Amino acid sequence: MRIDGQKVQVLYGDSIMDAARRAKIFIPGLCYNEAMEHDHACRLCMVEVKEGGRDILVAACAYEARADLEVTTTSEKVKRIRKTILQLMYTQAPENKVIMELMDRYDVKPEKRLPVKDSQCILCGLCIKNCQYFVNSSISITNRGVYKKVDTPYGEPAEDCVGCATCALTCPIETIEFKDTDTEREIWNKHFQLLYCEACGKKITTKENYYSGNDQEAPVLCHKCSERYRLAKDVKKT
Amino acid sequence: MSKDILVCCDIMCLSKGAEEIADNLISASKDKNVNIKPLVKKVGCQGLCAKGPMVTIMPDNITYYQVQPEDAEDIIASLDREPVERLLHVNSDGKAVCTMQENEYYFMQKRIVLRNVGLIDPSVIDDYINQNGYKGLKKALSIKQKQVIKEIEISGLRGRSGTGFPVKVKWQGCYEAIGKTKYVICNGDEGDPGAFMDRSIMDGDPHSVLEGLIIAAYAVGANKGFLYIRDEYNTSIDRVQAAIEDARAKGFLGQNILGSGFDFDCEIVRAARAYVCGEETALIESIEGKTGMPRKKPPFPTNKGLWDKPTIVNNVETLANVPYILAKGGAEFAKIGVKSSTGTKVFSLVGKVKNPGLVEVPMGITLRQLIFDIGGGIKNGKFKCVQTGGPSGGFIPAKHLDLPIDFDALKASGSMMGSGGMIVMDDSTCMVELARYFLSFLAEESCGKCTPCREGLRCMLDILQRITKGEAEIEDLVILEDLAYASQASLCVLGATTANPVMTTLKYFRDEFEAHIKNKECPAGVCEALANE
Repeated sequence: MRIDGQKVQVLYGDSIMDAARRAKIFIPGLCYNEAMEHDHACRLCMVEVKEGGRDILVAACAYEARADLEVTTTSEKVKRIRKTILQLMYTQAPENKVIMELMDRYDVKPEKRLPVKDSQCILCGLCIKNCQYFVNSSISITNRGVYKKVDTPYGEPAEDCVGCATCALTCPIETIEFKDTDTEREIWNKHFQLLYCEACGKKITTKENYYSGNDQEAPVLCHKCSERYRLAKDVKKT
Repeated sequence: MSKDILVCCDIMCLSKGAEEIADNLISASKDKNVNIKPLVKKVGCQGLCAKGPMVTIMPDNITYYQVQPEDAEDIIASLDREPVERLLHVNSDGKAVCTMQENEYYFMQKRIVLRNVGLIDPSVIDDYINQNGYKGLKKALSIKQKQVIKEIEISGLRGRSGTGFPVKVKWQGCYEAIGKTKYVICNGDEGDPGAFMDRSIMDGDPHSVLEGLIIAAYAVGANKGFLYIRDEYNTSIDRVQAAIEDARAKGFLGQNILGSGFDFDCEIVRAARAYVCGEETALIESIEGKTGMPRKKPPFPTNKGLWDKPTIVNNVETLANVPYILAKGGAEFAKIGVKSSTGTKVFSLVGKVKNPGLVEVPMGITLRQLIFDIGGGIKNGKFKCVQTGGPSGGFIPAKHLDLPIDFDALKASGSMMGSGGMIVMDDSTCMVELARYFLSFLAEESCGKCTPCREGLRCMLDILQRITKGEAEIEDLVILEDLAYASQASLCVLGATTANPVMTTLKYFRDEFEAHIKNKECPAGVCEALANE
């Protein structure tokens, strides 16, 4: 496959984005995550490909890469759309560091005439997908259409939330807030007790998160120390 | 001699007392002095809603308009005498006419999809069978699957739900797709404001849709089908449900249909009350029990659809065409209409026309013929524009009135064929306000999955609101165009067409936008904030 004239290796099942990232060619994309199925929702990765003699506009993260594809990321069409989408993203998360960096990179100025939202979220859905696949589905999309937002059920502290902060760590624009004090973590309006490793004293995670994967009687150990503890136990047995 | 009295009992006529007319006709016919005992049938929409309630006497082929419950006795008494003069239609040349065919409203129409609507009792399967019903299915089952698809290819049938995608391509794709389990879906989630074609078909002739679905299932090799019907369409759901049960009892559904060895059954799914669920992948998500949000394409549903199995989704009107094509042959069907768009198209003609109603015309006639010859022209004032293709279609101005109605011509004008809603506006309409209204509808109905649609609509709506309030500046139009341009980056067709109302109004009525912005006035006098004191 060629991206802007440069040859790129394509593997079976690749999207254009997968192949491009592997070849270290940058195509912007915020809802993209190579580790999981995502929503193809941010539409920042629009590129043009030649197909059947005509140029069509596709999302690089959704379109299957093929060896005979010719991809353009710099056509006038792509630039115009990318500019507008970045401006729209600015209205959803004003002054966000990641978005401002992208705007600088493509020389796009925020459009002051567009109404700014009272939020800091581009609704890419990655936090929800992660919570759904790896944790407890304690956050989801609420409302519909233009009123959409990410929230816990009924906006109340979620019963199922274990405070693992997976959502915050996968957020592409680093906007989900959690506050850690020495003993406590606050996330999604819920307070959690933090646990420290009994052996080395390192901060591990919240109590709820720790015991959702371990026995109630298990000693509180960090990943490394628990590995040592397990090995020691195995040695004793033999 | 037996006679049938067909009373139009579609919603429009019901609201004007059709039910009472039917009751009065029945009680009047019980009178001892009446020689002819007619059979009173409650039928589907007969078309000319403006002149309803309509009552038709068969086989005499006399149609009465604007019938009142008091007229029942006269109608019954006239059965063996002269027709009731005062209830007949008067053409523009002043001549009263008896038959529907002589009525100028029907001159240019050709009823293929609506072949039985308004003529048969939709709740009686034998009525449908007597009108050559299920003949198409018998024909289909007697030939190979490939031949059925070939017949559709010859007919040139294109999907009636919006973009006009060739039906043959979908069927062929699904037929060739690998997999034992396949599904067929009938899309009856009609959501455009002012559109009632699909409802009229399902209400007036549910078996034609069902027969189309069974043929489609046979052609692609599916054994299970779903009819996804708009939740608000209670009558349609009841009628289609009854049709399914009757068809099952007659052996048109179930195991070993008509001894052919082909098994098929289907069920109704009540739609999720969301406009976006009319989009095929969102519809599939909805049937699976998820939130109705479109999927990425490719993979297309023909390869990976419902529960990741090969699936075809066809619109109600598309399927209603199928039995006709099979029974009469694809070549016969291809003779109707124009080369690139064959057959007919049903429109719900509404708005500021003299004769609003349900019409079916051969493809290729011009918008002018449809609006002025059939619709009778504008009620008061002057024609301004016509909207085709629903909220995400566009507005076509007077200079394009001679545009032929076919998929490609309408698309080239910036609008689209859509499912067949056609709203006519006169010069009392403000185009900016109109664009704002349709964008607010779309903003409510956007699923909100992707940025250009969700945020683009919110921002476009904000700009249009400011224009109607006289708070906008001329730079806003440039931004509006940028936003409209970016909408093509959306995930689904709905998102990609959201900008059509803005694009076409800006293209054809830019002077109105400029009047709002520069002179702070609304030429049509609609926008309140700009009204002169």
